Amino acid sequence: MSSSTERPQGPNLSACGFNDHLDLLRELPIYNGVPLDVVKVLAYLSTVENYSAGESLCDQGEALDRSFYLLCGEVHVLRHVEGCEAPMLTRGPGFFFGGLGLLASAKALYTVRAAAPTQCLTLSKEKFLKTAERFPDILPKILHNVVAHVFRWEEAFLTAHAEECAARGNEMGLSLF
Amino acid sequence: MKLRPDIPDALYKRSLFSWVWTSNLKLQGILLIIIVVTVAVRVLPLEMQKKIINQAISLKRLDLLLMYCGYYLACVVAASGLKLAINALQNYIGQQSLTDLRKQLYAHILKLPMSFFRKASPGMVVSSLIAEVANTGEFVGQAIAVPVTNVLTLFAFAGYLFYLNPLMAVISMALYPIAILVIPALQKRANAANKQRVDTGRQLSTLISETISGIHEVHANASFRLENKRFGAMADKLFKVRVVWNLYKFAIKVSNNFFQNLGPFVLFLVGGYLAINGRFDLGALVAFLSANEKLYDPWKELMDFYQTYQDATVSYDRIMEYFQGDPEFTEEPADPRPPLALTGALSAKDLVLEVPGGIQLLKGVSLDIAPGELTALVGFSGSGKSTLALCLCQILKYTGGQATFDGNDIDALPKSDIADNMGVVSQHPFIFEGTIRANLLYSINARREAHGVTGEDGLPTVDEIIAVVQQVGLFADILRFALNSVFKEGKKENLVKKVVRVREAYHAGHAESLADWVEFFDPTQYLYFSSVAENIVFGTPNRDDLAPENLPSNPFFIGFLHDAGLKMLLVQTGAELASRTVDILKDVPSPDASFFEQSPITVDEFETYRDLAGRLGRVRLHKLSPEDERLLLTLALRFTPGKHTIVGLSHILEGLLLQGRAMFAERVTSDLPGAVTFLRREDYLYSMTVMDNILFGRLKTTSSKVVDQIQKTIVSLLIEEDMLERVLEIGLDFQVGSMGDRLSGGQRQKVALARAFLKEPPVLILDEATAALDNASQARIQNLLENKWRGRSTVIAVVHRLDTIKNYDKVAVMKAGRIVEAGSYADLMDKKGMLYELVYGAAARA
Repeated sequence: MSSSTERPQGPNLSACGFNDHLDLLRELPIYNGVPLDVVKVLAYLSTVENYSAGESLCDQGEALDRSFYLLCGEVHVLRHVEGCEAPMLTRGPGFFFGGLGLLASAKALYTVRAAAPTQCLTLSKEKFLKTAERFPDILPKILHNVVAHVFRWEEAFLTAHAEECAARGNEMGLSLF
Repeated sequence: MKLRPDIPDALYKRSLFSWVWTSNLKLQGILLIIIVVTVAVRVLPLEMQKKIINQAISLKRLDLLLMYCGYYLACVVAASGLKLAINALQNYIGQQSLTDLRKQLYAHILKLPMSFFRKASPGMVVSSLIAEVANTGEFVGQAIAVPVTNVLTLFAFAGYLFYLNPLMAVISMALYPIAILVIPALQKRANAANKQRVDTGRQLSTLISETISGIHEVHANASFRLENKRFGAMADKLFKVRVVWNLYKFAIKVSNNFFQNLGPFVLFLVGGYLAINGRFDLGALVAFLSANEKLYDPWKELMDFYQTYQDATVSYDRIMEYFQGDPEFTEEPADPRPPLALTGALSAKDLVLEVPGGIQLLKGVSLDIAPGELTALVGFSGSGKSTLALCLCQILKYTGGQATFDGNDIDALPKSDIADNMGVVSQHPFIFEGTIRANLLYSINARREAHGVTGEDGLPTVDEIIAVVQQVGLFADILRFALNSVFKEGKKENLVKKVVRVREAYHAGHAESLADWVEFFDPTQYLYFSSVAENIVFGTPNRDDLAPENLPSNPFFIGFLHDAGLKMLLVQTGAELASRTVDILKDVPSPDASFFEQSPITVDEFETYRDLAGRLGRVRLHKLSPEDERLLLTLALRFTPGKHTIVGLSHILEGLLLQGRAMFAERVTSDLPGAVTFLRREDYLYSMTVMDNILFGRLKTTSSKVVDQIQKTIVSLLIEEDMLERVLEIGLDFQVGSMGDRLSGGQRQKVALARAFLKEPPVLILDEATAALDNASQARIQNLLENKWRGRSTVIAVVHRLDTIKNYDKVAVMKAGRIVEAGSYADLMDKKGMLYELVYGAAARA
């Protein structure tokens, strides 16, 4: 999938769409250790959605009820603070977010908005939960991946921002939860 | 003697036998009379046998032979007829009692306290009500008939034998006591052997599952021999146990037969000796032999009945033990009176709720709420805020202190008064199978049923329903359901015309902005969001055999596919779709309809296609049976590339299909003129949804944002055509699916809110009732509470999000089962107490 700048039209109609999606999901850290047969079901239940530039994929404060994988295009991650929009990040193809929203009710802390015509592979929370209900063994594996990510992220953050962290000590320590 | 024993009121205290007494006693009486007649009819043939031999045959009297044989035949026919009557009555009585038991048990279960349902599984309740109670019904049906019939038969036969010859009677019955001693002894040993067999079998199962789970280790160590040895030893043990067990079983069978066959031997020996000596006649001997044989049947039936009794006792006791418990509240007032009309003043004083283990969820809560006051219960999770709300609406029963509703003790109020005066919305409301409308009216209908109201009385008007639907923000959802419905041809003619007008107006105003999201029905383009069949036919069929579901078996259409060079390509596509879907879904345990939204296979057809996919691996495509070919064509014709992304649409097929569309149109025009109405902008398209009709195309996205946007523009046009209300009514008839699974979490919550609002109760209890809603909907509900319901109803809202409570009349902050402070929001914030900490602490954390 190339990150074309023209507006993506229609669904992904190439003959091997499903297989591509399966490969993408298999490589996501959140599904690490989940058996192939289950990832297959998740890939099958995922749908391709198109967003035109300026359209938001999810809005800050609204329920985060699907996960997104950017197939092409570009998004800005923003946070509204007291009426102003503070841009935080810009991400391109391969960006995955919303995975935590699949696991429990959560409201998005950021607005993610398409900066260019964007195509995403999305999986709704409802379909994910129906699958997890039928393959409950995957939940501990996913939880493991989330915990591993929290620790890895905090360790990297602490290493990169050692001095600042020491100064703002009482706000740190997500991995202590 | 008292005929009928006392039957306790509590269902679970009733004995199994009490159901015999409450069964249809009139029928049981008729049954008894039939039984007495039957027994007489059973003994008569024996006497006839004797007479046929002694009188007719030995005296060579044909007239007597015919007469006695006639009697014999009459007895046999009568006995069979009566047996049928007995069985029919038994069955009727049994099934009637079973239904009675089911109904009473269901009514009892529904009223059991919440604590019961926390530990009970729905599966257990289902199996109790469906399967386990069946034994009881069978027993009640048999309880009188079987023992009475068989004991009477036994006595009648024995009496007849004594009448014939007391000595012989004693001899022929002498064998039974021996059998009674020997067979149970054997049975006991067989049971012991059986137990050993089960134990050994279990050990073997454990060993097998352990080895299979550890197969990695087995392969890594190549420990095949070691594992085989372990398994072999256990299998050998099982072998020995099973041989012994089977031997005992055979021994029992053999002894049974032996004693049964020994009877005639003794009779021949003694009876023959007596007959030779002239002390016993031949006819009597034959009658004896028959009677001896027939004695065994009632005996066996009694044994079977004993088994039925045992089974019924065990399952009955288990059911009654499981459902032991009394309702915590009375259902209706003891003395009939009109329902109380309460104002909504609630008060709690030193309220305590203690659960088993001595844990107090509420530790003495006191709170006064005036009628019409808006009260928020806030606090950390586990603080008891939900518990308090549930105690006030009688879902939980408090164990200490007092709570009152307009001065009435809530504990003592019957459930009916609470339901008449309160509306409760929980965090995870339950939606029942049926239409949206039925779910919206659920609370109202429950009250109507309870008060015996029939007809339209007490039902809100459609306008009132729509107003509430709008207030809770369910309007767009219901409109969507309506727009997704398909009208049958000939129905709603008036509406259809208006839809076409809306289409024109819509396209004039919005065609350009739609292009991104809609695939218009353009005859020159392949439509990725329409099925292959729709792409070919490109119109509405006017004949049943051209309806999409009938196309794969329509010879005209198949002939066309063949000529257009499409047939094998489509069969191939069908095969790919079947194989792909089966490969993905084969291991999903009980997949529901939502797993089939992205495949042309439906949930009911999955088994068929799973088998077919298995055959596809073995058989070449052109050697498939006509039926298999039809199944594959069915899939291919449903294939919608925009939706079913597991298989791609090749350029070759796409091109051929487009050419096929033109060719099909020509063929229909020449061979079947008028069979298809081709898609035209001026016509209503009956095979499509209202939305497709308005758009004159299909949506390319499922994104609710886009759908909302389009709907918003449609609404004004619907209003212009004065058809909005009619359309919404159609939406109200949307089927929500089992447990409302076709609704999203937010929609379910809105339905539950509307359900409570429609009832307009003096007290509304909202237990985190807006938690699943998006921010806009949450704000809308908040607005509604503050403006519409304040002053009209007392509102008690358990609230998690603190940004919504500023305008409440009263805020009660709870911590660890106590109210730590209560007052207006402003006062509490000024105090800088718990609420302040909660608000700013939470804010800092976020």
